[in-house]
Amino acid sequence: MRRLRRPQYPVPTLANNGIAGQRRINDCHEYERTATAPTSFPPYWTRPDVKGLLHAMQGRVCAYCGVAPRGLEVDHFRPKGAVGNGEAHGGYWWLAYAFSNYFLGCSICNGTRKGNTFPLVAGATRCTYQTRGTLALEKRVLLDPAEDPVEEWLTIDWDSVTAKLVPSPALGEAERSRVQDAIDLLHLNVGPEVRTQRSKAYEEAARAAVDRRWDDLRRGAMRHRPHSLAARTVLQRIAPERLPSAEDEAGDLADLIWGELRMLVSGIVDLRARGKPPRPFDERQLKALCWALFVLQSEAVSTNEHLAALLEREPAEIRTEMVALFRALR
Amino acid sequence: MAVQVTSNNLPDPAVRAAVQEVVLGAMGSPGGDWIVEIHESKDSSAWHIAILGPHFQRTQEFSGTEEQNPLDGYAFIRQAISNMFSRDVYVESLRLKDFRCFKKLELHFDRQSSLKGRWTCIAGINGAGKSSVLQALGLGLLGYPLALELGGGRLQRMRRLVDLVNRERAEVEVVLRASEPYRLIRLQLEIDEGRIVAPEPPFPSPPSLPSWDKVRRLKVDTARDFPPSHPPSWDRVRQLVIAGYGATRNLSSRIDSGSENLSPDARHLITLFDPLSQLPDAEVLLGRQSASRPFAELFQNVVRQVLGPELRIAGYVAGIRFSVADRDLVEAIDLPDGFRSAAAWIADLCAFWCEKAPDLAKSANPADIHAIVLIDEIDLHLHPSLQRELVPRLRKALPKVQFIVTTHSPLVLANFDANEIIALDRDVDGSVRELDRQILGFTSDEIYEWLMGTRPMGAAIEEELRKSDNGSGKNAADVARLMRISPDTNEEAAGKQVAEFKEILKTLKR
Repeated sequence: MRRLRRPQYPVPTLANNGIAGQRRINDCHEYERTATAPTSFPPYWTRPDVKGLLHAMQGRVCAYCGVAPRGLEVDHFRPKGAVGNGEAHGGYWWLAYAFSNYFLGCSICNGTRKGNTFPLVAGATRCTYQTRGTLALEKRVLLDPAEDPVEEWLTIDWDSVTAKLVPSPALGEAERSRVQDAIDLLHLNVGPEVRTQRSKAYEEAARAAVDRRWDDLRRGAMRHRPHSLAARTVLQRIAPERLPSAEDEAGDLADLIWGELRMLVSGIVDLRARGKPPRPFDERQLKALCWALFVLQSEAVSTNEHLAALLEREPAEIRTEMVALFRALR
Repeated sequence: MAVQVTSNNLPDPAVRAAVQEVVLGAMGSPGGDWIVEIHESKDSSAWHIAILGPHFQRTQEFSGTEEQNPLDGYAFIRQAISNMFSRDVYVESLRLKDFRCFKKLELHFDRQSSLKGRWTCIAGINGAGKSSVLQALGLGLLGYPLALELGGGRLQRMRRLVDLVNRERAEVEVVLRASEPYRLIRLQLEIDEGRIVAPEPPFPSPPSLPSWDKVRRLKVDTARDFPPSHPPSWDRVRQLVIAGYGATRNLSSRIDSGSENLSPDARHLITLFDPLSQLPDAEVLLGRQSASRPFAELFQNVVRQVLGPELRIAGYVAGIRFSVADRDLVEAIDLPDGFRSAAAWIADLCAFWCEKAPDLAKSANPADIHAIVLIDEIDLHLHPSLQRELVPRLRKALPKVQFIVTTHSPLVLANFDANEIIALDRDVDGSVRELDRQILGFTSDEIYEWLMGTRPMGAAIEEELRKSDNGSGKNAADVARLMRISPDTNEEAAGKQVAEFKEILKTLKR
């Protein structure tokens, strides 16, 4: 798990006049009028602008376990329809269309591990629509990578060749046990695939540190790379001044997204040359990637310049296509 | 619409009405005027039937059967008329209410696919209701009165339990579409006991159905065997080859007396409902029945295209002799499990086709077979390499068969278009998860993870990790070594790598 920062960028779908925003407002009105919570939630969160923003926040890496699977799903941090364990709480339905409640997660963390559960610390009261203003004070077990300082709370046990994740020793007794519960709930230590990958990433980082391959280490520590916590742990210990800055990370992520985008665009240019229309799925993907770039570009002047330079280097055909695409979406 | 029946030798108005019903049912009330002419030749040796309607014109001659009892409504005439309609009929949708584990479910089997053939694959975790969907289809297609042959106890179990004792009234609706114009056949079945069912239609009409489509309903009352009026739509379906194979489909030398009294249509679906029953036409494989010529040729052709070259038919000597991988000659009963379960359902399908469409079967061409086939666990016992190829081979060999299958195998799943896959998931609204991407390029690991919610590494190493973390099992280095052993890293190399890694960590700590 690594620290994430939610980009401050408008999401049209979720804005009050957007399709999901309207739905959210209607759901709330309906609840205030009839005291019935909505039972169905059209998946507006799969729209390209929402996915693009999430992509800019965390790359292609699951917010919880740190793997980079082929398909990532939009995860509702607080479940929208039910809270599990037979509890008579209709779920956090008013957060179904709130960006602050979204992460990208692998299907294992999102579906198998989390599912419809959201445990609280023993004895804590669950937030309801009426008390929604106190959401931040709710005593949840799961860690929110965008709210909690997860990199200070969670660390890889230095001597563990299997890269065991432990609550930071600096924490108090109660916090440690809560963090441990969060680790256990998501199977962050017992999932053999996750653990194997993390152990290998940790080994790779350690070897890079011995060989003084700082660039490799720094790249590995970037938060949109899988299992970045491994390289981060090593750098933190031996050369914290070499940890990547937010700007470095944004630039690297922009490079990765650019690579994906240009693959798609050249595919579409290819199809068009053969007289075929683009495939619908590609188009949605394309839009999501563009949104992610807009977000990154808006965040740092350096990224903006970097992207402009990348565009200059493309062949004329792809450059025109990309410019047209950006214009259409703006 | 109107159907006019003329005949020189059908005095009974009830028979004329029955013929009208057959045409109405078969055509799904298409509108326009229809004329059915039924004439017996002067010497009573042959019957001549002509059906004329908008976009439809068909005549047929068949020999009269004196021994047929005219009192049963001239069943042979109804049968002959049914046979004149196209066999190209397929399941379009299924709707369930309070059936088995489903409160409500709606599935569509006709979504556009980039691949050939009519296939639907139902994927899901255990308990998501894959087999129940096949049972519902089997039951709906069997219809009245044949569904009653399954027995009250079995039908009773189809109804959803609301508490420990009570069950809801179950409703099944299957909509079929025939390729000729205007054919929509809707079959509805309700399972209840001792209670008159409310007269309003159980399901709202889907908007895609034209208003002239008449909803036909039927009640099957498990307690009182409530006789409904003659159901013409099932007449239309009766001529089709509809077969279902349950996950325990079996081929053994035990004689299955339990299903001997069933009608052929029910016998070809019984394995979906009864785990201990035999495939009906497996007898041919076992040599208890001699193989007819068209069957033998047809079966040989399908086996060659689907299971060859690993499995071949060597000859027929009181049953079929197979040769496996060109080496051993074996009887059907001694085939390796995977081949046996696949060969058994293929034989059954071929035999059923020969029985129902003897004229078409003469060509012994698998591509002629029209059927609706339901298979639970299509990968059953098959070697992974054959699992991988089975579906594409069946697509090629049996292009006119509609297959509705279930599987747990990612190797099988990777052969379907995203629209052909129905991912059942009880945690999702409406129980069906829509796939937003094609998985034809996915590896098995990716399918396990993305579609089935599990990662592919074993649980044993998970246990080792857990114990090692608690300090009660192996030490961490041993587990780390296990993690690093791979097809290109042997145990020794992995051990060395971990020892080195451990040293590096110590060095860096200082």
